[in-house]
Amino acid sequence: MGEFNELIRNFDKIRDYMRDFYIYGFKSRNDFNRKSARTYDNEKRRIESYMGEYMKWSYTKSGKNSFISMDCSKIPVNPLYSAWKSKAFTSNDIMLHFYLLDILNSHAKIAISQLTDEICEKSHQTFDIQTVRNKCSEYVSLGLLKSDKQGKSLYYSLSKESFDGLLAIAPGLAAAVSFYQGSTALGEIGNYIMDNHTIENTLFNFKHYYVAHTLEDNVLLDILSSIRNKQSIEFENYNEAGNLSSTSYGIPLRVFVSSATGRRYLCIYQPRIRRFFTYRLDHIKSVKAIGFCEDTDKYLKILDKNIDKVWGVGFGGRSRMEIVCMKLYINEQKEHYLLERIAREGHGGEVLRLSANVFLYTKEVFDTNDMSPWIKTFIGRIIQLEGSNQAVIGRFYNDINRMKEMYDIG
Amino acid sequence: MDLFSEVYGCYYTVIARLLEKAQEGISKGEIETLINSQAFCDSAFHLLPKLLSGEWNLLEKKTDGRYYALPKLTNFKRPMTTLEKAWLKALFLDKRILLFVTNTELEALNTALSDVEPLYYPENFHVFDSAADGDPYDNEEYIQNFRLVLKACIHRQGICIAYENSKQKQVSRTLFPYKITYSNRDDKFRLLGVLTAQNGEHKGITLNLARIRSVTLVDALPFRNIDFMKYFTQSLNSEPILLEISRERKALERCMLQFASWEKQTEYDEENDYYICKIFYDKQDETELLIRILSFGPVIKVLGPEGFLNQVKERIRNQYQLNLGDRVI
Repeated sequence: MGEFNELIRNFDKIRDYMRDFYIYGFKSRNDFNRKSARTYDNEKRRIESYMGEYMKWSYTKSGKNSFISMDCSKIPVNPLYSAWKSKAFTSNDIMLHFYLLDILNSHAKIAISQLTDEICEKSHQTFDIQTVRNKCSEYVSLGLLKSDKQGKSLYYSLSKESFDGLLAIAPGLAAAVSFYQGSTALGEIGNYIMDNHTIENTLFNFKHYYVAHTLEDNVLLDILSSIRNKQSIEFENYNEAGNLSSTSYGIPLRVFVSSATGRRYLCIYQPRIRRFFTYRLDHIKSVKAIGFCEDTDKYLKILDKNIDKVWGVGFGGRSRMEIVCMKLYINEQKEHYLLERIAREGHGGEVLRLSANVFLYTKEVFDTNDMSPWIKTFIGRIIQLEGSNQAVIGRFYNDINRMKEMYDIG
Repeated sequence: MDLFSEVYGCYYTVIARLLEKAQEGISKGEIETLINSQAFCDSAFHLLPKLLSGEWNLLEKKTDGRYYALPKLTNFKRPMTTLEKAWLKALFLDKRILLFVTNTELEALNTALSDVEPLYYPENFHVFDSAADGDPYDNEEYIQNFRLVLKACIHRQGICIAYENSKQKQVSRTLFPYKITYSNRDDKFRLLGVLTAQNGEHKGITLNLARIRSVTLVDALPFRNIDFMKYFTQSLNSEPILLEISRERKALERCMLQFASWEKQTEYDEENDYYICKIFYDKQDETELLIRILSFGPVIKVLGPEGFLNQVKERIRNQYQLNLGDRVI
């Protein structure tokens, strides 16, 4: 039995636990049956340490529940970024890191042999040249160092572009990083810059901020790299229950994002069946690039041509185009904000004034099902709902009756 | 490019700070305080033995009992990684970047990072449900106003603004900015600030940046003693919304994700096989929460508080009365 380590080697190990503690928050120790109880205890202990004040617990009939809870509109930095800062390392790693930076900082460039000698001298510890060379080459690939060959010797120097240098060009960049770390993709990278430069976000709050999605950012990074390089991919995808995985293939074209829920989806084209599909990022376990696809731009154009008809992420069934017509009662004098909301959220659907206080909203989409939650936000005002997808329309009316029963409305 | 690297890790960051402070010597107590304040909650337990025993050979204990850094890293920051540079380069393509830097600065930044490819491009993403009336990021007046408001936030300075209210009337206000809040869904910036009336009373307000017509920086002195916490951190409604969530239509997962940005607490009721969820919320979010809950239909049921429940019932009653009641499929 190994000694407990606060840090971890493999991010996937903590990803699922953290997500469960945050998204669900009602699971007790017995509900975590993926691994042993000991694994649960260790992961919980780690997450408690990373999350600090955001980790809470309550006692229920089924036992003690630990969960992560926060009002995201009031946090300056996503606390779940901590998970990205928990990578384990060896004693050699950390020593070499600081001694390398120290020595390279006082040399324009230095040969590997001299570098090794100086590290040994400063640290009072023996490192062989191969160990130092490996670390240097790792740092070259990270971009921290540059290497160049002179004769037979390899020389190393610190990478020149510094964030301080960029701040000297544009002082507003510090505030920009504080903003974008909470509002754009892969914000943890901005937070790494903030950590390195002791920048605190005292300026921005974020509303409709869905912090859990940082946990799928390694998948996002691989997808973006494949999109950039026009690579087809093979990816391992879990089912809704998370207990079965399958391998899928396709050409990644775009990442679809819901600003209302934070959910992100991979949109791919599958040439074999000539269709677009979307997959939830939080259900994708891994992504592998499998080869250049020269037709990527062609499929992107087709996607762009059709995007107006995709309400959310559904490309619909065989019927392809569906139509939805919603007749609404809106008091024109007092409720103009509702018409503004339709213009804001209605995906360019047509709005017609039929008579005083009666408006007709019409939209063509591939999948009416996607629209269903939005339609229900107008409950209390829908005079009539019609459309070509009878199953969805029928479910709406049925739901209203069920809600009437549920709330005992006479 | 790896997102998960110890180079970005909490331990490396805190040790970099520690080594900086330890150039002139640091006591054991100060080391402990630094780790406790900047690392994970239990980090001191794991870090201290490695640091103080000399296992990592980064500190040296001298005869004065203090610890001194062996690597000489005064005023030094590690260089940026390619990942960080590529992320910054992606920001330079964002529609909001000119709120923070000028065109000339942006050009110089792009030149400085000319060897780096952006980590992503705006067109790699399709946000399918953000508001169609987002802020006008390319409007010069908006950009100038934003920059002045940001400057006031940074320097804790008061501002005098001309603001167009909901009745399209222009009003003048003197206020002390607290923070700028951004909503991805609304694609809008809002200014949180404290307004001061002539009688000396204060009031917390939220203003749309896009409705500000002009900004002038004013003397900060009258605002120095404002307790912002009073206006912006304690406004949660005393009673949470109480929901009963069924298993139907994946309601639980959808609900948990939908309301993930609010503070909440969920329990499973084994006897009845449903979940009970409490959502703690700001009064100003009430209508938004109401319509979001309605969007789930009958798979979640509001149990309270009474005022909120009555609003739900009223909407369903109105809906039923709008001539739908007899149409059961």
